[in-house]
Amino acid sequence: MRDFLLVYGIFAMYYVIVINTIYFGIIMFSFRKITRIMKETFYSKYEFLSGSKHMPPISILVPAFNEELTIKENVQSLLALHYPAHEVIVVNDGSGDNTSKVLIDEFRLNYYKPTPVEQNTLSTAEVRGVYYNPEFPNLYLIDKENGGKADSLNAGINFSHYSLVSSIDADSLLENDALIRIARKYMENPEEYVAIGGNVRIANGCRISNGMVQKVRLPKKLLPMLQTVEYIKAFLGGRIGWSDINGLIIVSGAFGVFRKDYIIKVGGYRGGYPGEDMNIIIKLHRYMLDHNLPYQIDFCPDAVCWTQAPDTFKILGSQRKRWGRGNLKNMLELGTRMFMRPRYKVMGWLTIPYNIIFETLSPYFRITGFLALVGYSLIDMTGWKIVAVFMLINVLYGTLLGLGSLLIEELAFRRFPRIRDYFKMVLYTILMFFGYRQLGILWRFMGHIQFFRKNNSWGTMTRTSWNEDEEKEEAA
Amino acid sequence: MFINLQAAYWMIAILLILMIIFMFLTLSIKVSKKISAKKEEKCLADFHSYLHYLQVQLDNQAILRPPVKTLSPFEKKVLQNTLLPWVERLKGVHREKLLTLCEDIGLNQYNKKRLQSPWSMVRLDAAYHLGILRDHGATSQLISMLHRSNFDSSVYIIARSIAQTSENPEEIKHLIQYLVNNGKQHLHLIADISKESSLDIRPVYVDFLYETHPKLNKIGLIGLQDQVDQELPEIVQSFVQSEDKETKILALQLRMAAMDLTEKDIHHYLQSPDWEIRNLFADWIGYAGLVQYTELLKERMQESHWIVARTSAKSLARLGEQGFEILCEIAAGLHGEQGKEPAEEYIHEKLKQTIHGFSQVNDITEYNHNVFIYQKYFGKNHELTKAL
Repeated sequence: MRDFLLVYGIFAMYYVIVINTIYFGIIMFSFRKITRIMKETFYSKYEFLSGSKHMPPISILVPAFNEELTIKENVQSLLALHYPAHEVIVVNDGSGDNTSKVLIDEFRLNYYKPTPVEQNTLSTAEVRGVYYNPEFPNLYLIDKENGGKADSLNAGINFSHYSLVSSIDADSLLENDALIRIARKYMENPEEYVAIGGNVRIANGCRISNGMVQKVRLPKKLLPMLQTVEYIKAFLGGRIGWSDINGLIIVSGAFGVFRKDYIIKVGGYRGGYPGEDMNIIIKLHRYMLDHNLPYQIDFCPDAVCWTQAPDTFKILGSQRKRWGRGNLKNMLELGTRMFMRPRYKVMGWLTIPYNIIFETLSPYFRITGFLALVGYSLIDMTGWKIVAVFMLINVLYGTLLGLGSLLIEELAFRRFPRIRDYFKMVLYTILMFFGYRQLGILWRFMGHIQFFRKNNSWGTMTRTSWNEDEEKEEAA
Repeated sequence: MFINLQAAYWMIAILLILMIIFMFLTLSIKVSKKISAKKEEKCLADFHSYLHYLQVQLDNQAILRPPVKTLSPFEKKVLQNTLLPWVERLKGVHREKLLTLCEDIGLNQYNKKRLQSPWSMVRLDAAYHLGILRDHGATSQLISMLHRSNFDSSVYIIARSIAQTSENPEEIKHLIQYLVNNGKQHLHLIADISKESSLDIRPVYVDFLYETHPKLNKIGLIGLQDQVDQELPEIVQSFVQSEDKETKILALQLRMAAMDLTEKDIHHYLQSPDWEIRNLFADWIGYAGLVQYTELLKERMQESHWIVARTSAKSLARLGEQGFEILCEIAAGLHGEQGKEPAEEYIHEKLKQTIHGFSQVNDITEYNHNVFIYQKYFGKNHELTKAL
């Protein structure tokens, strides 16, 4: 028994080392791509492109459910984007709060009965009305029955007038030039780019006014700070590398641009479960590979979207359980059909197997491995040295990946120029392995339990106003 | 299970070394950036009075003199970072004066040297700045750099610089052909790049219309959109028949902008089975102020495609009293239920617009006429009249 526990525990350790080694390989791809990204970031003339009539028009879709606290700033920031031709379509998904009212009052929107449109091809919950004010000719509010985020996105797609659509979360703020940066990338290969994701950064701690991030600062609270370094690692270390080999499995729902024709061809967003952002990307990969069409799904790290990170364990837990459910559903529904299938190339051989073995199944191996080591330690402590060495390797390996991502951040983006910020991020990169990571694994496992028990609730997701800090100061 | 503690210790050592390398690199970049920023700040402070002199002298006729002392490469770089944004923002004589100054300072030479650097990033930086400097002497070097480059984003940065520096329309023509033949880019991106040129490249666009490559045809059509003051080449008509929708729309837009359409054509396209073409024409009628087609717009307002109906309403609102009266007829339900909502929307919008524009007598007259027409259909006691 003792030997079995030790062997299984060590097996779980090897499992984590393999994950880290694959991730290290992905970061190397990110380093390979970073010079290209730096060239694009530094030398493309965004200021002039933003005034060019040659940029493709884009429909921005903003699904909103109970977003009364943030929706106004979000829409203001979207209307103020430096982009020559875009429309903002807010889809109120049957909110129970004043989301619609806030927008109707702020922009003096008038009600119009929904009329059938010719391009309506995706089925959605009933649309109750469309709100519009010619004084804000680029803004539309669609009011519909509750149907979930995917359903709202589909309603927005049906209504949209342009061939490119961008999905934005209602609790996120786009930087002024974010859309122009993604559109520039799209223009370099419009036939093959079916989706391009933006870079999501954590806004907690930043100074925000008029719907714009005015000063970038690291969060003061523990959980948002941990998520900041986690996001940098996932987006800069991970997604740049995955996109370099066209193996990106997700374009974050917080900000991405898509070819509308292909979204319609794959049947639109899948409702009923979370993880619709991953689902649509897997479907796009599959469709393009099934039809032997040349394509790319890319990531544009200099197009930045700022989002609010959960700052309590309850909300963060809800989010991570939801992600766990979404991931499991996607892997069962689509991943298993693409697993190790040669026709799906990088997706079939690498992305999907990596996700199934090292993401979806990871809670099982990690939790049982950890329990095995605890059990072993209780029985016999003679092998403690082996356990400690392997644990140290995993912490160091994980930290190395974090440091690699921070190097990429410094090379190309430099959002946190202060040296003390760097050390703070390094500290939290290490801290992540002492509780936070384990909690994340546990939440994912609980998400799986919810999935099997068919508990598909959204969970707790409380928004705070973007101006909360200012409001507190004023109150004081 | 394979357990080799010695190997594990080696692994720990390797990981630690890699961590130290990553941290060292990151901190080195941070520190060097900070030092560089401080140095730049000091350098700018030294140039403070010189930059003030430039700002003052920019409006005078005298040429701008370079700094008296010999500049180090770093000082040239600092001045470049300050002066080139000015060059980008200014036009005409001011820009020319600054470009001459940049040449006198030696920025052109400085960047041409950097074009030979073994580092691709430095070469690209030099190409980018030579473009802004409009250095005509660098075009041939930039063209060979373009041909040597991998076809990625940097190609478009170099291409933009070639368009900015070239003095020969043939070079622009070859540049466009090179991009079309080798890249997969959006044609509007090429058109945008070619417009960086200060040359008259209309003949290039016209030549492209006669090429067999459909992409070159499209670039020709896109490029000519801004140059409709001259007669349109006859071949444009043939593109109107194209089966490619984008080509067709581009050709139609050209003919619209050149007012090269007959009444029969307008009738025909407003009946097109393609809603985008109907919408294009409905919009154009309002934009061009073609009052004689108000009846055709009335028909379009009855159609089920709401975008076309709304565009028609918007155009009617632009077509003076005649258009406004038709909107009132539709809003009052004289032609059925279809189109009532957009008609009401644009009636309100039009009245609001004319109230806001009360600064001129003409606006007051127009407003009074519109209110009169409105009351004719909805009466004096109607809610909106009261509100007005």
